[in-house]
Amino acid sequence: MINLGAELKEKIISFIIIGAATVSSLLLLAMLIYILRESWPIWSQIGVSAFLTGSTWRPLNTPPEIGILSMIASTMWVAGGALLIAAPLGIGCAVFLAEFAPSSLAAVLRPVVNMLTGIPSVVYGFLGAAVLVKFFEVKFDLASGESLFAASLILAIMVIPFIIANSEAALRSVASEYRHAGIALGVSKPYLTMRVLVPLARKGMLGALVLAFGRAMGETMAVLMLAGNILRFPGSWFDKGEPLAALIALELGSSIPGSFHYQALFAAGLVLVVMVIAVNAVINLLLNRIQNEV
Amino acid sequence: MNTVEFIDFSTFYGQKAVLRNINMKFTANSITAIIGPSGCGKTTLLRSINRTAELENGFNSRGDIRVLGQSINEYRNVSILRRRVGMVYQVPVALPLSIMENVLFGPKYYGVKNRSELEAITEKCLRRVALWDEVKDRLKRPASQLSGGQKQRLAIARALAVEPQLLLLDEPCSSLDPASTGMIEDLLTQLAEEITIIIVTHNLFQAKRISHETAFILEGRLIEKAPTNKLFESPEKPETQGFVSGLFG
Amino acid sequence: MKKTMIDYLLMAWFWSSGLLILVILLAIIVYLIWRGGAFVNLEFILESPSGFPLGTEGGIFPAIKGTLWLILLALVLSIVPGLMTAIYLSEYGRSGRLAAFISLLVQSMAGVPSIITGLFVYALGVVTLGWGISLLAGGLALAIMVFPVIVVSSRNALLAIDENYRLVASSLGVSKSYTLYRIILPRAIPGILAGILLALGYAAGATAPIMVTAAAIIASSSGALLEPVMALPYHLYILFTEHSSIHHAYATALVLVCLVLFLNILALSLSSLQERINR
Repeated sequence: MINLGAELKEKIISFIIIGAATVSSLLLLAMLIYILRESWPIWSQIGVSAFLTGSTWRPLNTPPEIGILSMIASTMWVAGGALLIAAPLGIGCAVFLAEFAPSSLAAVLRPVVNMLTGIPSVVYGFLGAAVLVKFFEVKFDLASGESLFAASLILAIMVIPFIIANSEAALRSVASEYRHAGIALGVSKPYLTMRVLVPLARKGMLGALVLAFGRAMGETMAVLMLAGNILRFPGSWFDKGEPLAALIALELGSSIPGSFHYQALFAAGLVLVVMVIAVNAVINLLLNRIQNEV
Repeated sequence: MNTVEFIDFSTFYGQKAVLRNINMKFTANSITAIIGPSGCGKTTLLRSINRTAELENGFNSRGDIRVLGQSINEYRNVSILRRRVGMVYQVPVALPLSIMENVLFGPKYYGVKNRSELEAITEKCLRRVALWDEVKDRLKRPASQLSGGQKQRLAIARALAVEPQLLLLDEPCSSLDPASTGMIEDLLTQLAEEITIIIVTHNLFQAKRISHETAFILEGRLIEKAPTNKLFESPEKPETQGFVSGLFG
Repeated sequence: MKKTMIDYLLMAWFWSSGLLILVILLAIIVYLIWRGGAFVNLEFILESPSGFPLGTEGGIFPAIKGTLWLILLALVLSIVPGLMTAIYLSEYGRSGRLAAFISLLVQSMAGVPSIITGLFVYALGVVTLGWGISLLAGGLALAIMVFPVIVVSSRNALLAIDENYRLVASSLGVSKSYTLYRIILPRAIPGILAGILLALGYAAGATAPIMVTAAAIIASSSGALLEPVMALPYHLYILFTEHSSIHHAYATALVLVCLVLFLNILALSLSSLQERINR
């Protein structure tokens, strides 16, 4: 005969579990609210548009000039450039793994991709700085080989494994009937892949690219060591710049808590988070449209 | 006494109706077979009795089912209902535990701790399903090593361990060989002397062999329920006649 | 089937992409071993940094200790909330709005840049709560960073467990928590452990969050919660940007990569074990 105790015990346990899950997840909201609060004076006194469009960053001046347009531009250059390089390579490799690689080669390549995701960003940044930047300096006779382009290159290598993993999964989940039908029709495999399989997997692939873009926007170490850290508006991909993440990492420790400088860094952080979330949200909405059309 | 009684019982998944206005009674200590074409709602019928159907998303129901004299919705704790109603599934499932722990899973949950009592329960249930002699030397070994037929008998033993008054079986022999099927049919016939048994089956010969009564379900409705011989030899409804003579389903 | 020019171009694209990735990883590992391998010896691992600028001589022992302390603390702080959230999503709240909401929050957390997590913990822990640059702040930042990783991997491990077990248990009237305790969790342990190891590897390599909350150029890394610590990724960064010792930088990078790869390989083998169990 079941006692009331067992039923009550189960209720308590589920309450604890649900509670823990809810509270932990609310952490994200807590973070956003906290950052908003710390940066509030910036929004109320300087205003959103002035902050976003001002291209001078001299927070310690009197009066302080704080505009993060240069940093936003650097962030977009670096991330966009990374995606430009990473997308063809990543998608190509994903297609290779899913459709064309001989199974022995695939058995080696997949763990390799896996391992690449594990290499810390600071190691990528270090290698990029020690090897790539040196190479640029020597090859092109530059005083300093750091640039947004160098950062994009290393960021591309960092995000490619994620693109590969997600895109390959998307391709694998395309039903094999399509492949059989293609073979039966006598269509060549590359043709079938590009005209049928990839379009069917495009939702997953686009999702992978978007995630990669978001990751590139938020990356700190690689850009710290490669982008040049100049607070000027970057004129081209080959200029130096300072993306938002680098700005925060470099200046947070030396800012005085509670000062305008400090609050401006939080405002910059909020902008970065909003950018990443916005990119994800917009693309997810577009992806849902694609899904509905199919 | 009626062990189970359906009163105007209907179920829905979302908007789609699965069972429609079922009115049916099951008498105690008998075997009732439920037959019908695939998708007619037989499994939902079974799972409604022990309220595991409601674990699926979008499930809701109307009407009532009375089990052992009490409405299923009136049970304060659904565990009590499920303990009185044992269930055996189509796929033989051995929990990832030893053979003995499989049988004792329910009793241990319900608080039986005494070692000799646990051993007695194990032996009794395994004997009832004619498995004791085959496994008595390897009770502590993983149950996953058993054959399909043995796993299914173990599943019945596991269900019997909590002393149900009603046993529901959903196509229990569909993945088993004839020898195992025969063993299970024999033990069900024996068990029916103490327990009410409801068995969903797509095997009409099986229904004829072991059940006292048979109910024919078509598209969520009860078409006919009668003593087995009568249903098969001289059914009243043309749909029943069509089904049992193999015209459809 | 006639192969057109386009077919050849496409194949060239696919093959060269695949081979390039392979070459890149091999190049990274080989280069690190070549440039740094000679300098990784027992003294390097067991000594503290010395020389001027700091790090030119000596070893990285406090950095190794610091990294181990940091990931241990990150694990301790994140495992209970992470597992509970995963258990909720897989056992108690499969559908329904709360579960969808929580799932969305967790996935969004995974996308938050780690520097922002560092920013948050800097404001909350280092400044407001007065911890200062400390192991505690760093551990907290890393815990927040790996929380989504643990939730997602644990949840997947739990969901992969045969659904029939849950059905059988509920038809016996057994409660969800008992089923979890006796059947589901024990069976999912390899998969859950794999996720935890991956999270630890991720935490070990993270620089940005600890840079602003915990890391110092020199510290004893004794495990005192309110003291700053040295950490391998930050030490690498300092060695390079201060131009202290390129050799030791390569050696540090090699040690860090080996640590992370070790954790990843362990995680991978646990994953395969879990898959074999589930079959």
